[in-house]
Amino acid sequence: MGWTKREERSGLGKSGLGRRTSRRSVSGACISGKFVSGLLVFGVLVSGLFLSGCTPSNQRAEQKKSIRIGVSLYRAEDTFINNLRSELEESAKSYEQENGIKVTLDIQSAKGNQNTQNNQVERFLSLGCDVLVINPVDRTSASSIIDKAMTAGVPTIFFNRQPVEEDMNRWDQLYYVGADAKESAVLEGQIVTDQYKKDPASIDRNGDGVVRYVLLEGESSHQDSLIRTEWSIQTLKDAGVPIEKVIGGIANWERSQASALMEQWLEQYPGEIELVVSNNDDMALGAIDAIDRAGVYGITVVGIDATTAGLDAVHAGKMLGTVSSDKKEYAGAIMKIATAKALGEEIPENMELENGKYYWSKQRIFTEK
Amino acid sequence: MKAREKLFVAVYVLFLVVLYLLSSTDLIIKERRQEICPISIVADTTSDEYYVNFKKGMDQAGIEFHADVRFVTLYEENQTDQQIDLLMREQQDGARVLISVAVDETSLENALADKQISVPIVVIGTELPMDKVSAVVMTDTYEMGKTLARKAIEENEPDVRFYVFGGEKENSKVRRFYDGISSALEKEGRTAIRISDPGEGENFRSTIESLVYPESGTAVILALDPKSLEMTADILAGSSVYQTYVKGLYGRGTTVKILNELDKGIIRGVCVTDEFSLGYLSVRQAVAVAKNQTVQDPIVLPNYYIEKEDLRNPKYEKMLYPIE
Amino acid sequence: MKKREGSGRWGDLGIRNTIYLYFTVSALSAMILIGISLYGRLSGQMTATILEENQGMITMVNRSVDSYLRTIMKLSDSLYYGVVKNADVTSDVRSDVMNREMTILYDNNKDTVLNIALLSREGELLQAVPAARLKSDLDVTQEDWFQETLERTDNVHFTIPHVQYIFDNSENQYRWVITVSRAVEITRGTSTEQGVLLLDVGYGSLQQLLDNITLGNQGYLYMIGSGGELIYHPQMQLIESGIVQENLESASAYRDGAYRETYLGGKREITVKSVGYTGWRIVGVTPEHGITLNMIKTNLFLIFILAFFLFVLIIINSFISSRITTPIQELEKSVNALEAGELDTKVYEGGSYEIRHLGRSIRSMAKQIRVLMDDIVAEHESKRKSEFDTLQSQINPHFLYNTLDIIVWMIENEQKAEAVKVVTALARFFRISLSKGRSIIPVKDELEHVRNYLMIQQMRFKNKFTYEIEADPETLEMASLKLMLQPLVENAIYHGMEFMDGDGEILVRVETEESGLCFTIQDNGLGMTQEQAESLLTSTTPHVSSKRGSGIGVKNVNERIRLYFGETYGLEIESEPDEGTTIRIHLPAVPYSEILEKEKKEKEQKIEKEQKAERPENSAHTGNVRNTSNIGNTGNIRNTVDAGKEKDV
Repeated sequence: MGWTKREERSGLGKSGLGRRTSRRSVSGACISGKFVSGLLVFGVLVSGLFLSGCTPSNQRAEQKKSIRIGVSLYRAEDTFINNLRSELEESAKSYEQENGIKVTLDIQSAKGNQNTQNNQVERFLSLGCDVLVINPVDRTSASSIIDKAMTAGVPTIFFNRQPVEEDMNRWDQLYYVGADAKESAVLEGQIVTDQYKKDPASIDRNGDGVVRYVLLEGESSHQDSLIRTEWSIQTLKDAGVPIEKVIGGIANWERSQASALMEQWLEQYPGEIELVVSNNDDMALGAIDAIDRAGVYGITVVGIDATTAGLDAVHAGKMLGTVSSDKKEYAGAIMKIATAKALGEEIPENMELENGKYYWSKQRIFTEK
Repeated sequence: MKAREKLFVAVYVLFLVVLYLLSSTDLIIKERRQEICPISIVADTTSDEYYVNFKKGMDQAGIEFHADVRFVTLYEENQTDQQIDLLMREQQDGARVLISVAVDETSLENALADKQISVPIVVIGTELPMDKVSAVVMTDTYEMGKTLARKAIEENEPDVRFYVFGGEKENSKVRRFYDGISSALEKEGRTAIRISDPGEGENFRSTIESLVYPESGTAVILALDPKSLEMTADILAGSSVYQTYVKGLYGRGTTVKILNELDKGIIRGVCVTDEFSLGYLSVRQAVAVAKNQTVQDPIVLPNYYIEKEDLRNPKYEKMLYPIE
Repeated sequence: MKKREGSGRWGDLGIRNTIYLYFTVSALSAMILIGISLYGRLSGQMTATILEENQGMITMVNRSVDSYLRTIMKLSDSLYYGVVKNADVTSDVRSDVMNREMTILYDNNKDTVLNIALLSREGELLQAVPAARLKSDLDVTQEDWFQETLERTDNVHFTIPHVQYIFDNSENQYRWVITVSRAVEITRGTSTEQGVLLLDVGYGSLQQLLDNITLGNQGYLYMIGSGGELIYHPQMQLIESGIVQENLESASAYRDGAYRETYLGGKREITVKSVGYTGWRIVGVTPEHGITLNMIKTNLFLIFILAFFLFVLIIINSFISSRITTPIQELEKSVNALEAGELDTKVYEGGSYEIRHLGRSIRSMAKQIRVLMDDIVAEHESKRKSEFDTLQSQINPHFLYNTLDIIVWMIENEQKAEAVKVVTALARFFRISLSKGRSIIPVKDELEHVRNYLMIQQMRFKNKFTYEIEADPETLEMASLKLMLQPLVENAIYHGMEFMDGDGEILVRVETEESGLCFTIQDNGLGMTQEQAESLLTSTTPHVSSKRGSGIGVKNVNERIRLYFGETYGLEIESEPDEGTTIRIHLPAVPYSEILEKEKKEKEQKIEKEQKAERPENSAHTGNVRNTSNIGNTGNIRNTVDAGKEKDV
């Protein structure tokens, strides 16, 4: 079109010359026009390919024939945690067999280090876990885990070490499964109380009307230690058992530390100690180790957890009793919530969740009867 | 000329676009976004209790070689068909390579022959290498047995009786171990009494108790698998009386408990391999297989005989107590 | 299509492609040069930067390890000086206090320290925080580190990492620790004794410091002890089991500084830095491979950029060279057409100023050529016409008739002798008129010619006039134009003598003068006005001829003279009415022999040329040759005349 215009404009006189020049510029325009349009086409092609291309698809997660659960334990060597872990694995296996959906449990130990646990959480999320099951090292630092989980949209179940309420309320996909610390303490106290009521002399060996006890406490930062310590003693007091504290010590839930402490105390207070109240079974067993080594008899020992070893000790008569939270049920609860959430389903109706978040595992006393 | 020039220009533009795509976008040459290679390991046990070190090595290799390693245990001990089922399930689930600690290597080989499993398999084995698998990482349990038996004979009086404690269900490892022990014993002209136990150790206990008679002489117990070893150690630890009659407890395994018992003197000697390396190498081989790289011949890990003093030997320290 | 003449292949490329090529090559080489130097520079820069950064990183790590160790040592100091020293271990109260104080210190350092223990010289565990027991079968005093610590009391002793074994442990865990021990003074009651204060530092805390530190370019760092033992390595476990290898022997020999080594086939940069106090050394390893702006993709990208620029360059080039060279090419086409003889082609005018100017110039040149060529043609035409006229006049029919009449009358009148005279004169007259077709004859011949004419005319006109012919002797052998004098004499007779009645006088004279020859024809006839005289030479009418004359006019003679000898020669007419007329003819003084020689030469040249022209092709030229041959000697004489003139001057 431009060509014809130019021709008209150039008129007759210059027609020869005019035509020549106009032809030149039109052909120039032809090339550049063609070039531009060609490039445009290519550009469109390229961007089209670009946009449509390769988004990495998470193969495994999409086939809901399998679910992946990331579990981080605060310390795998903790006996109770270890027991729980076995139960968890069993529970996963049975779920697998019942429902035909493959369950992959990725279990890691944080070795008592919150940083390690954070790294593990990140790894879980990057591997595409559907649910996180976390036993936090530091319950006050749970918020960073919650942040990561929320960003990734992965429901998280905390257990055994309870995050603060404010943190738990940040998201509706956070859950907690645990044993009520107060309840366990009360039940522990109950064991002694019951025995005392039955036969005071079995507790008060020297018959002086005072039950002298030593107290083995868990980690100072753990809220369970405080609660258990407080309420086990309180229960005894409330029940009217005449207790008197000899000494107490922090054994950080560990058997060996409790063993060492107990040994010292036996040396320091020979013949005085009549009762050992321990915040957990491991420490109770440690005390028993020390007692055995010292060759002393007649000291009553109570613990909480009903670990396998603890139960053995109760059977063997070394420990008066322990508080059992049905680990099968405990693990089962975790499993139920986890699998439901992983499959995107609702939590089964028959599970009682306090505030829709908290599941308290049932506890009962376990003694040799 | 004009037409030729236009053609040239068009071809050149195409060339430019291709170059651009090659160099600046991911369309043609994919930035090797570290593809995570899914690998599944199917063990021969129901729990990973005796695979702790192995798993550590496995995890380390997983991080290094960008592999997503899953450790799968059986529902029931020593069930070959279960193992094969699980292998197939894992294959269906998208595993690029499978690693198997074969319950029974012959049946596994048969299963492979039937082409039920099409994904490459790395086998952690004890028997002679197999053809149908892509790679083998071996621990020679037979040799282990021989060494153990030999040491046991050396360190004890000529007149002790030999007992061999083991689980009821057999698998390749146990069988080979037992074969090794038997052959070594035979060579020295000794015999061993085989005691097996369904699970809780009652048979062991009763056998040991039966030794506690003044005339019965002393005995040496060889445990065929780590679990039996631990159970026996527990029994012996329970009473010092037993310990006077059982002069030595030997076995294999590297759990912390076993090592502690070794340290305490309840266990006399243990045959061990570097399980961390086993886990690491098997994953490494698996990744190599997945990438179609040439794989070496079967890697055979050496075994060692450890006694209490060796626990602190730097040579063994890291192997027995892997740093995480 | 004309073949291009060129100075070899490069010349044949043509202006467009040449510009194109040079431009592209120079720009491309500039680009490549810049590219390479930048690349090399950047690469070198990157290498240097990475190494620098790694150094910086190592220094940082060194500092953090340093501060880590310092913290531990400070803790040890606090424990010793703050807690243990001067505290009586035998006193229970003090013991409790010691325990509590230790617990506080332990709680504050839980992340780093796993156990704190105070041992007596005999190996008895005096204090332990957290609570712990020694292994029952263990004699601490036999331990190397124990003995060494007691020996070197001023030092804090660090072991290499090992599994904790002196304490009774839980069943299912083991811990890697570094034992930090020092000799202390323990107060027992009133006496003091030596003991050992022990801290078991968790290896994990050291690991945390050093894990995940990557140096640029896939480098890493590790730590070795003073004796070359591995303290930390990212792949520590694998090195122990032999799966991975590290160059520990060399590393332990290095002092602080940077080294280059080759290990397992790869070059690496090693940086060693000592950590204070312990004699531990941090070793940073940076492989040297591929600190290039690496990867296939980057290289491809470079190639892409290069190609892209090349492309843009080509487009620009194309554009520029077109703007510049296409007009030149068009012009060349026009010139080709012109050369081919199409003088009417429209010459291209366009492009830059110079080229347009060229175009215009060529166009006007073409026009001029056309004009000149037309002129030449016209000239040739007129020449031919003159020649024809001359030829015709050579025959002079009227004069012949008249003279024959006279002869007949004479014969009839028995004037035999006169008749013979007239016949003879006539014969001579005609013979010279023809002169074998020559245009230039010697002066003496020309005089003879006019003499004969005059004689005849005198007889015819019954002595109406007299004549005289004078010539300087040297002029006789000079060259003169044929039929030059006779027409003028004819005019003099017919226009001047007609009314004279016997008093008419005609004088013909030849003499040399400065500028050459001078012929004078003088008569005392009627004469004419000056205007008439001038108009004789310039009149455009064919010729003012008398029917009785030769037919060649004065103008013709003048023209012929000028044509043959040049513009400077010719006729000069002076006249006064009733007085007479004098015509002067100026000619160059060229000896007749010269003319003859020249003609000979030209003949030879002509033969040569004709032979050449038989070979192809140049139509135009052959045309020219032909043209010149038609003209005959004309051009040649002019040349000689000019040459002669030049000689004189």
